[in-house]
Amino acid sequence: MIGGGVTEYVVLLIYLFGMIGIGVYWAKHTSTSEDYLLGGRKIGSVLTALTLQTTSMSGYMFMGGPAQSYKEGYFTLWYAVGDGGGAIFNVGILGKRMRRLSYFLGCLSPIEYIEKRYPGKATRIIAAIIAICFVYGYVLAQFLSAGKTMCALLGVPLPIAIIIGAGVIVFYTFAGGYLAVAWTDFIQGIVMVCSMVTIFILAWNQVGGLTGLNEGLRALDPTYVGMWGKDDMYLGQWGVVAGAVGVYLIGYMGLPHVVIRHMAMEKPSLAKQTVVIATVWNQLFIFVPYIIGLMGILMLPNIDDPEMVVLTMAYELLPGVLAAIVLVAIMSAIMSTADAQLMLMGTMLGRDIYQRYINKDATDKQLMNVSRICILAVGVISVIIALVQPPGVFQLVVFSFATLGSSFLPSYVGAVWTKWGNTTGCYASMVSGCIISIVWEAAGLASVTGMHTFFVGIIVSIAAYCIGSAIGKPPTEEMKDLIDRAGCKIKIPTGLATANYKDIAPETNGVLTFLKDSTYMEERGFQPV
Amino acid sequence: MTEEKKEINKVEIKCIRNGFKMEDAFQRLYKRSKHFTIENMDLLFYPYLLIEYEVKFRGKLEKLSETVLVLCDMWRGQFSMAKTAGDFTKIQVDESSLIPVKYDKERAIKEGPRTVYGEIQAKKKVLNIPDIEYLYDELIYKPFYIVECKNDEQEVFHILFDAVNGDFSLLNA
Repeated sequence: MIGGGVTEYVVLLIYLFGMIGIGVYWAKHTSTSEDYLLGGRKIGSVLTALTLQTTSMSGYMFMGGPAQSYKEGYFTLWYAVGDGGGAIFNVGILGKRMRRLSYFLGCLSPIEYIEKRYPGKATRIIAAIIAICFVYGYVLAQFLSAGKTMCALLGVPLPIAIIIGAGVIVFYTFAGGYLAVAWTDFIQGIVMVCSMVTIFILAWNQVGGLTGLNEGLRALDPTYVGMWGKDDMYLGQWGVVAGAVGVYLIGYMGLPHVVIRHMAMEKPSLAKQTVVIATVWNQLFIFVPYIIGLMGILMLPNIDDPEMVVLTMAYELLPGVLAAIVLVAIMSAIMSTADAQLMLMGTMLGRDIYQRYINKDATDKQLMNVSRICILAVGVISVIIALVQPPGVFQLVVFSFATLGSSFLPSYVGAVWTKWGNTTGCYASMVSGCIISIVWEAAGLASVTGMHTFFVGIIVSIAAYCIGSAIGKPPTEEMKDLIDRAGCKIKIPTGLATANYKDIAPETNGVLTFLKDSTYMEERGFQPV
Repeated sequence: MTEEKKEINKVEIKCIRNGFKMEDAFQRLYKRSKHFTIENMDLLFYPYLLIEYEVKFRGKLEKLSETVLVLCDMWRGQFSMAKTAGDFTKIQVDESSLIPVKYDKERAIKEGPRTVYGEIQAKKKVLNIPDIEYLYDELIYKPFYIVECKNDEQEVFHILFDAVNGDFSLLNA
């Protein structure tokens, strides 16, 4: 135990009550299902960028990342290189087009989006089952991380720590919906950056800057500063390097709880701003935890658990209150991932299962209540599993990440970038990506072949998407037209492109369908719309 | 002959008063950007059924009764609450500039209370189900401009301009 004093409890309590306050505030300002599920599509660029990043990173960046560079040296920065470009790939490739297409198709959830882009009887049920199962794996892992962090730092027994952490996450997601999640993520993002950067600057001074760090590491073991890892453990293994860069560079595009953020943007034009903000954020933040891990090799050479390197340094370098804030930042990172995933599960269980298969005529109010009840139920079940038989946190995260990415990435990317990608390709991609990931992991083939589960999964999944699409029925002309419109080939003057058209979105879709089927445009000398 | 045909196709509708004339719409759009030209512009009327209901609550401490307005989009069958009845005018328009009514009026009146109930639950936090009684309905139209524009590269795009409040949306981008 590192902390466990009164200060830690006070700071943590202030933080927890602050989050609950935000949940209560938004509960009073949530009125329709669109407000609850997607924040009424009124999330701005700063909020979108920060929620995207905090959702993506989780507690791994505070514990796993620094621990990995503590153990492997400079090699770990390959992961940071991939992550640093991840935002550009994620928002740049999917952002604007996905926001537009989801708006044209009238979708609220990432599963509904898949179904409308790839219409078919089984689309939604296959996508929903895969997403619910593996997003659930993520939720469970986050609850466990939260519990273990609190247990280790505050000296609270694990069952109590899990119940408190999970309870707060479930409460504000349950009470306020997406807006609560987005705003708490924003606050958590600020706390994360400030605390990490403060520790980084203080440690940087202590080790004598980059020169001092490199000289110190070289004196301990020259392989620490090499590109193949400590003791040259990955010498000549370019596949491993490519894997380390690639996983975080493209993997996020297959995660439903990450891509749902694109659908919530206020305007498609915000995608460009979001890329800039997310990239700046990444460059500020992504490399920092790994470098702190490297500095930890010099400053804390005998630490028992490398995952505690950031916290131990915080207590070594900062006064008690500030160190406790770092503790809160770790909890923030974990919670910001967990609440987004809980919200997604609520959306999928409510709209994709309840409304589709149980009550087709569900009202907005019923849908909202069902989503809330599902979030509560998922939280309770997770706590029970975490208490009865907790699985390993990081294995669970990596496996869930790899399976979700392999199953969905080709369908999400193909949805907006190909006009030939069709329902057969989507089925083949989802099923093969999921099955190969499960088999690869269960049979332990990753260590035998030296190929990461994600990469095998994604290659098989992309191949299946292409083959399936080649033999399946092509998308309708109407769908091809929507994909063209989502691509927005025409250059729209900036002032018009950034117009807020949310308020007349329903009429816009209505007018478009009317104009396409009527002679209105032709009679008045307009060009076809 | 053509004049005669046009005369036959004129119909009288009840329409929300047009807050933005064509020149106002021009100005509003050009204020946002100078890098395009407006090539063509015409009115299009969107149909709604304005339905009035009386809502009666039976609370523990008070009895409440108030009237509410619901708008049903008669082209797509979507509902929303209306804050006020609005400022209406009766005008003669070319029938081809009307989006036709596709949704059934009786169905709209029957389904409207669901929207009212949802709104009351969310806004007023009333847990008991109020009595909702139909009072009145009227078919109204909202005017929009379809605006055809060209960018600096002479590519064509279209804008839907709300002639009542000046909001606008890109139609094909």
